[in-house]
Amino acid sequence: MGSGDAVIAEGLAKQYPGGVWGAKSVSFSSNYGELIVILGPNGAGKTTTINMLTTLIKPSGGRGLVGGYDIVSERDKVRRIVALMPQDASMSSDWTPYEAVKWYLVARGFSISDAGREARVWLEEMDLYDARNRLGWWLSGGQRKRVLAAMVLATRAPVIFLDEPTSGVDVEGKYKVWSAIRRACRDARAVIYTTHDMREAELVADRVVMIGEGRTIVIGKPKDLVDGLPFKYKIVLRGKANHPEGLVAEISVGDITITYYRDRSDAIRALDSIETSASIEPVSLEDAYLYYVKMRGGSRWA
Amino acid sequence: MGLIAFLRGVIGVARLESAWIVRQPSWMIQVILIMMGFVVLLWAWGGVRGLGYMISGWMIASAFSTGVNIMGQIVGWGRVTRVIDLFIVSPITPIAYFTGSLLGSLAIFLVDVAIFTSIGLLTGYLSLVIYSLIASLLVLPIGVLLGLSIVFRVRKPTNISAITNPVASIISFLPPVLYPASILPEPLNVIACLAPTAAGAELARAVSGLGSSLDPLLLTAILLAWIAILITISRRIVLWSLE
Repeated sequence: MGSGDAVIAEGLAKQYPGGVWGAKSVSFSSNYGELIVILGPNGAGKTTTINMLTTLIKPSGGRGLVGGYDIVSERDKVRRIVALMPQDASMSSDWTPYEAVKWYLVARGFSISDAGREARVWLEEMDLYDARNRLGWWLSGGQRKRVLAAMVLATRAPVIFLDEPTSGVDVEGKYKVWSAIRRACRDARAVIYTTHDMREAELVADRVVMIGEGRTIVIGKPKDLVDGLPFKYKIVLRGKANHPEGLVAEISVGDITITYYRDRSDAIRALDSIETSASIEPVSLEDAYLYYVKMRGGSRWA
Repeated sequence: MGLIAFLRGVIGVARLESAWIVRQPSWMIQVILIMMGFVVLLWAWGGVRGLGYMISGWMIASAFSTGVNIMGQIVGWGRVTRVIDLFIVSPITPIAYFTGSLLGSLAIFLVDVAIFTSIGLLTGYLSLVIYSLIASLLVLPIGVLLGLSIVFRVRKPTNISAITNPVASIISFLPPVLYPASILPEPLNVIACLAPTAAGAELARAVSGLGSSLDPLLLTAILLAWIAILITISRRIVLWSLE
């Protein structure tokens, strides 16, 4: 391990019984030491993709390699080198953080002394060391989630899959999880991470894989995706915009309208014509997401 | 997979799966109270000999229902909480996982064994306790394999216990487990002993001298046939994945 592609997905597709497509064509690759964030709306196919790559479900089409092993024909070899934090998983209330991490590591093949040492290290990393002997009953939802993240990151698996690891975790807790994941990347491990939180993706990702309706839409570094947008500024307002001069794009979400402009001067002029309270902001990954996943090819372009 | 890795898999899973037994000891009071009630009932109806049927029947039924229910609860709960996915996506083999799960939950059965050993010492049925324990070792894997064969066929994990509990209860109490097969008419007594619990209990009674109308070899063959059939079925049904 340590060089080459950690994960290769080529046109991965999954059709569930009943004919529903969980993924239609997901393609991307990741390197060791890299943190890939799979970003997409609910139902886009993020979890289905993770489940295929971790061998939990078999793809209906396409190909996947993890650590050079085929996810279908070399399933057992893949399982030896990966660890998964499933979406919405919940640790047992009868476990303490320390025994959860320690005995999970023993189950994966660690010696008892190594497992205890690693458990202490990763619980400290997650700021859970002081709560290490507290039963799950007395931990918050966010703390339990961090225990699961510690269980998975402590495995030393070269390829780690984290399916929405920070949902329900408070801001401080999220930073702890991100910091621990970064540590794993520094150890030359590949991390594949799903979220629909744009801010989170922008902060943590080396590269983002945006998927929508089961297909890969765009792949790139967060900054490159933002820089590649045909607009640089936006105005978010309540209600409808009156299509000011310089408007490049517009999207309405509920009673919120976001208007996009190529440069700041166009945005300032537009702001003058808006009667409700609004402000100009530079575009972010959230706007790249809306552009690539929601707007591109759609009918909402000005 | 090496032997050490296998053993670590078993130990790790067993330690995690035994946590609820240690942390929620009140289950033991329930087990003991129910058992004491049956002890009084069988003694009142059948005297010391009635207790003999209780020892053999209860130990076999306990081994069987432990196997069925533990697999149902562990797999069902693991699927609800998604914790089982952490074990599937790992080097842990299904055999190590299920062995560890069983060992971690065996305290439930061992409580029964401890109590019946005491009763056996008091009533002079210690050899019956020993033979019942040996027969239990054949019935326990049948319960585990039957439990696995059921739980992996149930799509909705929250329904698993609703299926495994009645299956375990019917097979434990309806056939001649707590009562002798000899009170049933021919050929019903033989047919009834096709149930693994009845075969196990009758085997323990036949070998210990308490008495059975059926040949111990036939009873052993029935149990071994169950194991062979359920291994074949569970190898096809148990999928160590989400589908």
